[in-house]
Amino acid sequence: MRLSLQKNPPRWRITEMQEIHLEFLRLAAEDASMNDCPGGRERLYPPPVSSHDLEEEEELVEDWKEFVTSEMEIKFAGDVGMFLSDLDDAKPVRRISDETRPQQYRLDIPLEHSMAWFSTLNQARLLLDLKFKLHAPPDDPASSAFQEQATAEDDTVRLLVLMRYEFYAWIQEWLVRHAL
Amino acid sequence: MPTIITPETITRPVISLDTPWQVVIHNDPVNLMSYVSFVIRKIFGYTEKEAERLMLQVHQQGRSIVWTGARERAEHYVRELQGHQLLATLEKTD
Repeated sequence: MRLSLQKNPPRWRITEMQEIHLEFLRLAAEDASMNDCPGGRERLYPPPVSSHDLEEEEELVEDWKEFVTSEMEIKFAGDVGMFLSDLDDAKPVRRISDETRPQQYRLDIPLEHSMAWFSTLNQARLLLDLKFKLHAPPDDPASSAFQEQATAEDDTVRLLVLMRYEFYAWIQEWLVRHAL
Repeated sequence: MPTIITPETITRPVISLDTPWQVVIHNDPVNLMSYVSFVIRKIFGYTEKEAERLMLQVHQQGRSIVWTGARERAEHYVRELQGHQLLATLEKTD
């Protein structure tokens, strides 16, 4: 499963994408959704002060919810929208001499959209981490409960989640180094 | 001729210094180390070396004070950091 990322101002390009890469990227928007994610809202929109200062800074916290959080909600949703809109431009590429190879796709993305891509993939990873407790220590009750009751189907879901989580991180690492 | 006594006014300058506030970045297991370093450089204009030092402090000690100063500015920085999906808070200096 090879995939190439190249910077080619004023755009960056993803080439040699296969269907599974595209599918993973499409799923990023869903992964970034707060449905079925208790704690997701608190993680993406935390208060401006630590828990022990919440009472003393009640006014600031209320103002923060009203003004800053709503502004961030619009921004983060806009980032996901831009990401999905870019994905719609994926173009199928097939070399005539190589009919046996799987369908490949190419995607050109404006460099100025890089931050929106990063944000979307980050939202997806932050929420996947919460939904599937990816970083819970092995002795954490939530984590062990998940493993003990896990069916083969759960294991497959978890494997696919981990694959997406790493795939998104790989693209993000490239974006930090070359595009942001 | 009556003597006019002008009351003496004593002015005592009162210097009120606002308590400085600090901006703290907290560790989280998801954000990439390279990204945390990038955001610190972008928002505060620190050198790559300083940003790297602060990022490692977050990673190893769980938190790092990345800026200290006036409250309004601290709020602005926390807003910026949270806008980049980092866990950040402001708090009074001890």
